[in-house]
Amino acid sequence: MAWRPRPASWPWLAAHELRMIWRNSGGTRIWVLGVLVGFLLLLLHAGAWFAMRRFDLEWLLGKLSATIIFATFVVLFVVLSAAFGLAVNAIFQRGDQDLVMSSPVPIGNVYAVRGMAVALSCVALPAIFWSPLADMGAVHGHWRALAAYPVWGALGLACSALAFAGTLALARLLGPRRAFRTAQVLGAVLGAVIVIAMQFQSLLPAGAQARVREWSRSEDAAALLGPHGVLTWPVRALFGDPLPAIATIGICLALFMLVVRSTTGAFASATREQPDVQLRTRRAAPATPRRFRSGLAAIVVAKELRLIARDPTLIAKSLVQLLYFIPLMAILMRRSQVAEVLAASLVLLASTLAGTFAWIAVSGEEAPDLLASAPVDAERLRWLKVAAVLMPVVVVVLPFLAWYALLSARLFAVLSVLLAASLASSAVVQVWTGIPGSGRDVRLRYKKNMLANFVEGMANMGWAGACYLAMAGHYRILPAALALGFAGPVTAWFVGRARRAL
Amino acid sequence: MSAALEIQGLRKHYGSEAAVDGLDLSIPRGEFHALLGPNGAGKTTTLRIVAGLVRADLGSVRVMGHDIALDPAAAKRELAYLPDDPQLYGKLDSLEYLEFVAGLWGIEAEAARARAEALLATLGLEDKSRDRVETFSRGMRQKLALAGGLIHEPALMILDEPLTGLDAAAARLVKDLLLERVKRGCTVVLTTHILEIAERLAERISIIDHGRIVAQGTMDELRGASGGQGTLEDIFLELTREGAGGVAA
Repeated sequence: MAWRPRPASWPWLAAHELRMIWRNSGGTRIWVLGVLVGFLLLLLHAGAWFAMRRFDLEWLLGKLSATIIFATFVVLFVVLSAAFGLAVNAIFQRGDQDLVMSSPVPIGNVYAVRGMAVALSCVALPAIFWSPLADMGAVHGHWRALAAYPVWGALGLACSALAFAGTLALARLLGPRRAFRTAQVLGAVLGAVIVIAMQFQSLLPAGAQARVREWSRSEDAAALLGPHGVLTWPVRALFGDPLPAIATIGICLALFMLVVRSTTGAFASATREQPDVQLRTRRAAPATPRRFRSGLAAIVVAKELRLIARDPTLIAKSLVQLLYFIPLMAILMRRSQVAEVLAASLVLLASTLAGTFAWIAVSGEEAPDLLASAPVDAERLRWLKVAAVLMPVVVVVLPFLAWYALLSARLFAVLSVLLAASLASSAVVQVWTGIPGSGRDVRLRYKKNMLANFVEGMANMGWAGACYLAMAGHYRILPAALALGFAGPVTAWFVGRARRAL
Repeated sequence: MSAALEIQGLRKHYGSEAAVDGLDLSIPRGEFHALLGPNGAGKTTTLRIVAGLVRADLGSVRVMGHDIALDPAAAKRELAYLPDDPQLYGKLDSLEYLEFVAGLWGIEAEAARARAEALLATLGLEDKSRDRVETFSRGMRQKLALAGGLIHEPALMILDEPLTGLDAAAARLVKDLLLERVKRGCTVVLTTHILEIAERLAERISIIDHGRIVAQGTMDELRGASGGQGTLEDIFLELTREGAGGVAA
């Protein structure tokens, strides 16, 4: 008979969590993606086989230590950002909270298992993409490379611990509802922090930049950023360097256990005080007479803009995308020769924002039955909704367009045309393929309609590429980029037609 | 004058499963009609077809004389549909929600505001007019959805389990409101699992099972047709038990 964990024990809870992770990832329906990822991994393993044949970590660190450290910390910040989102969900949004909390299962077990589940979820992707290096390293006799697996697990536990500790601290300081919102925003911003920090370095005045360059050549910098600096330990640990690996695993495990032990009480009280409980007691602002609007367009625009303005997760995600762009814009104001790159980035940013907002308007519609039972043309309503949500995107890009108008009439014309094309492309992809009632959680956008969002992403890159090529005068390969841009709406039309025919 | 709701030969299959299997139903204007049936009998599918949310495989549905498939806008203008789990916008407040619903039915702003305020007052939600819907209890959401259904003064109201989640006082309020609408000429069709409600409120009752109407009539007609003196519960259980035949009242 197969071994089954004792009910209510932590392995039993862990098995339940694993099942939930699998089901939430799409379960058996995810096989198509699984096949694609499997194929990609096969290719990566083939590449890693060559890369690991004569692999020498010391040589690599000697050449590129600062870059490798930077890349490692970017990945770790992204993992931490994901952990925050998952921790917020584990504390405040679990559907089974009341059931589990009212059962006699020890709360410490529940907390530890949820922490482990968050760890597993947040490192799954980087660990999967790291696996070719570990596996092919072992094939070529670098057995220590297999240490990557426990090291990734430990790094996941550390990120999970930090995310839970941070969210619970916020809950204590701000109360559950504000903590819920703040942690969501914090999680979204964290992923961008390190990239933005690096961009700001290039914005420093010339004198400050010279001092930074001088410091980077000093012994202090070498101790920190050099090949033997302590900041290389995470990457050394991933390649199985014994001391860094043992230290990383030990420190991460200790951190996780410390956080779980010391914050179990805070976890229990935060899960008892769900954010919506606080919402119910919130008083409304004193009433002032309110005018109603007339006309379908006016009420649709008002409703869509209100819903966007009141969605903190969406605002946070959008602001992060804008944050990435501000340093780039500052560079543009100093050096006009990077105008092509920045225009392409602007097209990518605007079309991504437009796609997100259009997805919210179409697939995130909360009352599809209400709209379907209303005596208005469904198609017209859908386009009105999308037009409404594109307004904020247009407001965001207008100052940039104005700057380009001052810079050059040709660049302005190219940017205007490609911005319009990219926004229209994102909008039609969502209108033609959207599935109303998918929920408004922007974090689930790619999961809910993977094909459409993939198609939209590829088209966005096509339009951005076309913008760069047209501005830089590379007209020979411009048609290829334009074809990629047009491929998005065309694919969406066929996908949408197939769905409509069902 | 055409019936408020005229359904003929309605069929809807999901795969090989027949959700609605040749359903005929005619409800005259100004009637309070209850549609009863066990779980999975086809009530919700029928109502969703009537509301224009699901396309029928076969058959026709006419709302106040307008065919829902051929002239959906005209049919929908006369209709209000309230699902059992009302869909509302959590981030809008009550007035904003009602403003939006009124706009969908083309109600002018001034009339919409007056009706919205009156409905909120009638349903005891006037002090919640500026509260966001996400802060509402299930019962309050149900009442707001009902206000949304009434704001365009429909000629036909289709309500799927409208009393679910309401406390006794709220349920009484909603029942009185529906009866008052019927007195003013509105036709109400509701589904409910609480048979006493159907027995007390409805002028006529239809019992649906396996996608077909198996009995229809007033309470007395149903009693007479089933040959007994039992309650609606007795008649319902008798008619919907496996293998039972229907009665035409």
